[in-house]
Formats: sequence, C-alpha cells, structure tokens
Amino acid sequence: MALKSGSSVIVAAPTGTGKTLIAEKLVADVLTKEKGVIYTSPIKALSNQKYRDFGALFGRDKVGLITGDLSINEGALVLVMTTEIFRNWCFTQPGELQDVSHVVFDEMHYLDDLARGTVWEESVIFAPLHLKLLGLSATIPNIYEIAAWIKEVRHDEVKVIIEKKRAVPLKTNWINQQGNILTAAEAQAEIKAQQEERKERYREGKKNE
Amino acid sequence: MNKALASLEPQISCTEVIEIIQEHLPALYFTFGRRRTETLADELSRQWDFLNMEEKKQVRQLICQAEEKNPGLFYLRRENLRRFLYQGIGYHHAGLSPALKDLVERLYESRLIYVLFCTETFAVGVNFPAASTVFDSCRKWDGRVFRNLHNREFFQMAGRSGRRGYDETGQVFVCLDQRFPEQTAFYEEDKMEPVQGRLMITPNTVLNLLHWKNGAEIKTFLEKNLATYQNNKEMRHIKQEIFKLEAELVKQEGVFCAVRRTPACQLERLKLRQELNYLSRRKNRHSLMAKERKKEIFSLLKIERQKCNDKKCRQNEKKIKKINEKISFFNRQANYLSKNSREYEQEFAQVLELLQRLGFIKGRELLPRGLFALNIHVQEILVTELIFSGLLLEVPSAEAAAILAGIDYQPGRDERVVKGNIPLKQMTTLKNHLLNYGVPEHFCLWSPLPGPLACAWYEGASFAALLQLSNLQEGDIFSLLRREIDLLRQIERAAGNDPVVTQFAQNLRYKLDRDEVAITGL
Repeated sequence: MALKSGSSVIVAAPTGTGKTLIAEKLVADVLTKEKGVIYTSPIKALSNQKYRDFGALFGRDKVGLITGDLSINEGALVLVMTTEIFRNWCFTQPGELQDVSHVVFDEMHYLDDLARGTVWEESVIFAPLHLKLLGLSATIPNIYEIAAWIKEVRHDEVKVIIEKKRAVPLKTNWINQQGNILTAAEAQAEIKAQQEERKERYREGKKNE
Repeated sequence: MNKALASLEPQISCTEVIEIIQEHLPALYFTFGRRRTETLADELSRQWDFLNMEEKKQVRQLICQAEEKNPGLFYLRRENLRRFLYQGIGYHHAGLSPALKDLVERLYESRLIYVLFCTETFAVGVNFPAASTVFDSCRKWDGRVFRNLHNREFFQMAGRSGRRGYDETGQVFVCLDQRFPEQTAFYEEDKMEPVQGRLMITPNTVLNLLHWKNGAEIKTFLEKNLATYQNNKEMRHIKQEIFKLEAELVKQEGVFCAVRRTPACQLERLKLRQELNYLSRRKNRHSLMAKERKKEIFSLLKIERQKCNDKKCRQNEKKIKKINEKISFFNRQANYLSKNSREYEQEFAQVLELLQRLGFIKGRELLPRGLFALNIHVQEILVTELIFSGLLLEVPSAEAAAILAGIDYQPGRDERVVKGNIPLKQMTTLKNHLLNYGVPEHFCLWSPLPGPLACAWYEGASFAALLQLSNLQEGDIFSLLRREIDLLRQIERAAGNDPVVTQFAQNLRYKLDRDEVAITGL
C-alpha cells in the first residue's frame, strides 16, 4: 500500500512471510506504469533464481539479468542484478536509471556485512534521488534507526513494516550426549551441573595429589 | 547406550541424532567445516538407507541426466557422494563444483535427500526448507577466531526449519558438546544484533567520488554515512546523559550546609584524621614537611565540630563520587566517539594523498591511471600498475594468467599447489615496489599460490588435471578462475579504446572461459 502511494519502504521479517510477494506486487505495479524496476540481491544464485521467477511471472522479454558472469536482456524494464553492479551504475550510468522508479534491495541486512556492507551503503547514498527504495531484510532490532538514516541521506520518507511471526513457528531443542531432548532451561541446568562436576573432579584430583 | 562407553565421545553421534529425530525428516544438518559434512555423511551411510527402489531409480535418473551434461561430475574425489545419494543422504559445501551443488539441490527439492549435511552457505542462498535443522555445533571460524554463531546467523539457518503446509512447527536441534559446556550458545529471536554501518574507503570509491560527484555529495558521503550517523546519535545520547548527571550533581551539592569543607564539618575532620594517620607512618614520620603538616592539622582540629547528623552527608558524598565516576566514563566514551567520527574524513584524505603520490590523480582531476582504476573493483591500485608498468603485456600470456589469478587471493591454511615453472618474479618485484612506496598491504593483496592452476588452464589442461595439481577443491578452483574472468572483463572495460590491452584481455578471457568453468545458460 505504502509503496503504491509512492514512498520508500523497508520490511523486516523472517524468511517465508511474504517478502517475496511484496516485491512481486511492486514489480507488477511498476510494469503497469511502464516504468523500470531494479531488483538487487547479494548472491548470484539468488539473482539467477529471481530472474527465472520473474521471467515466469511477467514474461521473459520483460526481465533482464546482469551479474559478473552473465548479461541477458540488459534493456528490459525489470532488471535483476547483484548489488555490486547496481552500486557501479549509481556512479557511472545514472542516465540508465532515469526511467526506473524503484530499486529493491533483497537481504538488506547485508549493510552489516564486514566485507561487503559498504556496497549496500554506497548504493543507498548514491542511488538517484528519484528512486524509491524497497528494502527486504531479516529481522533487525534497529530497523527504525536505519529508516531514519535513509531519510537523512535521501530526504525521503521511509515507512517501516515489521513482521515477527514466522509462517511456521520454530521450536529449539538441545540434544545431550545421552540422546535426551532438552528445553533451553533443562540444557542450561545440565551445563551448570557439568561445570560443577568438573570443579568437583578438579578438587578430588587436588586432594589425591 | 552404555554410559561408560558414551563418555568416550563428547557428543552424541549423528546416527543417534537421526534416530531420535526420524519423525522430522528431511533434515538439514549444519556443521562448520567442509570435511565434517563428509565425515558425518559417511558415518550415517553405514547405518541408514532412506530410499526405496522406486526412489533409487529416480535418483539414478537425475544423476544420469546431470552426468550427461557434465561428464566428470563426480571426478574421483566425489565418488563417496554418489554412494550417499543413492541412500538418500547428501553433503553440500562450497568446495563442490557448481554442477554438483546443483544436482544435490535438485535431489533435495525432489525430496530424494532425507538428511543433508551442509555448511552455512546452504542457508545463505535459495531457500530450501526442511522439517528440521540440526546444529552439529554452534561455533564457527570467522576468518579470525572461533566464536559462537550470532543470533542473526543462527536464525538464518534455523529458519530453514518448517515447511509451509507440511509442518506445524519447525524443529531445531542443537547438539551439546560435553567438552566445552560453557560454550553452548542460546539464541532468542528478539535479541538479534543491530545492523551497523560498515562503510569502507577504497581507492575505487575515492576515484568514483572525485570523478562523478561534487564537493557537497562527497561531504554527505563522509559525514552522513550510516556509521557516522550512528556515531553521532550515540554522541547525542551520551551528551544528554552527561547533562542529566551534571544537573543531579548540582542538586546533590545543594544538600550540604555552609560549614562543608571547613574543619567544623565532621566529613572534613575525618579526612584530616586519615591524613594524620598517614603522616604518622614510619616512613613518613621523620620528614620535615610531615611534621609541619601534622602541626597544622592538630590546630585545625581544635576548632569545634558542628553538632549535626553527618550520616546523610556521608551518603551524599558517596552519591557524588558515583556520579562523577559515571560522568568520566561517559566523557571517555565521548572522546572515543569523536575520534571515530572524523575517521572517514581522515581515511579519505589518506587515500587521496596516496593516489596523488602514485600519479592516479592531480588535485581533483583523474589522470590516465585514475581513469583506468575507476572501472576496476578488486585491488585497483595493483591491477592498474600491472597494466601501466607494461608488465602484464610483456610477460608470456600464460604467466599473465598466473599473475592475475593471484590478485586478491588469500590462501587457506592448508592449501597446496604444485609449483609450476612460471617465474612470477617480476610480479613479486612490483608488489614489493608498491609496498615500499607506502601502499598499504591490503591494497596490494596478491599470492603466487593459484598461479600454476590458472597457467595450466590457460594452456588447455583438463579440469581433472587441475585437481591433480593441487589439493584445492573443485568449487575453489572454479571460483578462482571465475574471479579472474570477471577481472579480465573489468580490465577490458577500463582499457576503453586501447586496442592492445582490450585485445590482450579478451584473448586471455576466451581461453579461460571454457568447459567446466564456463557458465551454462539458465
């Protein structure tokens, strides 16, 4: 909704909660306006997958792919690329982005990546200002801070969408050496007991010396 | 299991784990080490066969299809994987060739793998959900140290549990390690690590900024990047805290009466007595100054003490001390942050100075070297020097292939490659020359190690032959050569209309981009 009204959005949600669906809706919407949209992802395998998915949804002729390895249909309205390529375009080919209305950052929490985070950051700072952003991220606690930062560098209001519930809830168990399934509390108790036991053994050892 | 026997092994075996969780298959079994995925798969394959005849037939079909496309798919090293796959067991890590990874993924998607032993990389790519995930351990080598997984990393993997429409809950199992119980990690989804800015100032970034952006834009980049933004925010927070503490300090000071800090005040008298004590110690006793001071204190203490309840004053004194400690702690932090906030400007200035010294720029203007490096995204200084010094075009092409393979390559701990007969001496000289010139080490990363592999591949060797030359795994050799091809493309682009360099890079690239290393269509 917020996207349709033309603002930038970041979504923080676990995998499988419909982030993909939001992106697909956006692409469909942009296509009806005959504008371009760029979809960036951090891994070549993900880019390839997205290219295939979008191709099946919107027609192969509408979708292009640009990675370090491959370059298919570069003039298409929907372009899937690695974030590195997008960052380079922001510097060297801003003209190519003139008719593009949105850029999607898949896995936007890569901002925090020690080696590659700088690429996401440079992309956010230097993406031409007429572009609206859609950031898709894993759950991050300081999502509002990130939104406020984008607002400051891009002078662009950013809406935040948070989903905490997983499509399928997780249950974490611990398995000890004897093959018992433990809850977190039980595991913690067992660890404490083991530590005590070890201390005891150490004391015994001292006594026997 | 016999308890005495169990204690020999610090951890439950994977066979037992699978026995316990057999209601929750397929499972992704995460380990942190490639070798470990294979060891565990082997262990499990001795006890379990998950597939019936019909399923085995399907596996055979998929394997045959894949082998038709990629004849050497399993080579010699992966025959074990073929055997496991027929039993519904697989392993998956970055050492596998892309074709083999693809096959394993296909089998997994076709529900022909019940237990997949994998490394973290399996959870970073395309989403392959499972009924359960198992963590062999929660510690990984992050390139510098062994550490527990962060919350975000854990849930990236654990989140693969739970297939929509199949499982009510996604089961996650963490194996406890009895040797190091205190290293067991516990994870909570609402304790994810915050995202921090990780901006880096590389020569390429500086060149692009100079070439494409104006002063105001560069200022934004340096002063409003995420790290600085977070830094400033933290700074404002600290200043507020200090402000509050200082107000509190004034309030507490107001509690005391007028005689404070005079000998009439009990607090002051206590201090004086303490000093007296100190001065009377043997080692101080005989100094002239001590004697005089003692006299002085005695006379001060003759002044009559004000009658009051000093307990409250003493408590206040303590409070003030604590507040002052807090203030100085925040001040130290503020100092540290203000140092950091200028870090990017300093770094920018340093890289600028270096580029100027190396002849990449003159003032704000890019010279030919700078214009070239604009299009190079790995080790741009080193690569540009390789071209502009003429070195890369002078040496035989096979040596050039070897040199480029080593760019930005950081060999793993036990990686070995049979030494070829290419000299690579000139390259070592160039690197040392740059280092002597004050180029930081991380701007001229180069290793001779992968050279012989690229050289042999350039000369037409088979992929199997490369495997013979080294202990590098297929996936590593593949990405090593892909990186070189990518770099050659960048060189072509950077050379623009210099026919000699573009021709050179193209020729080299065509020779490398073939067979197993080529990217087949989607």
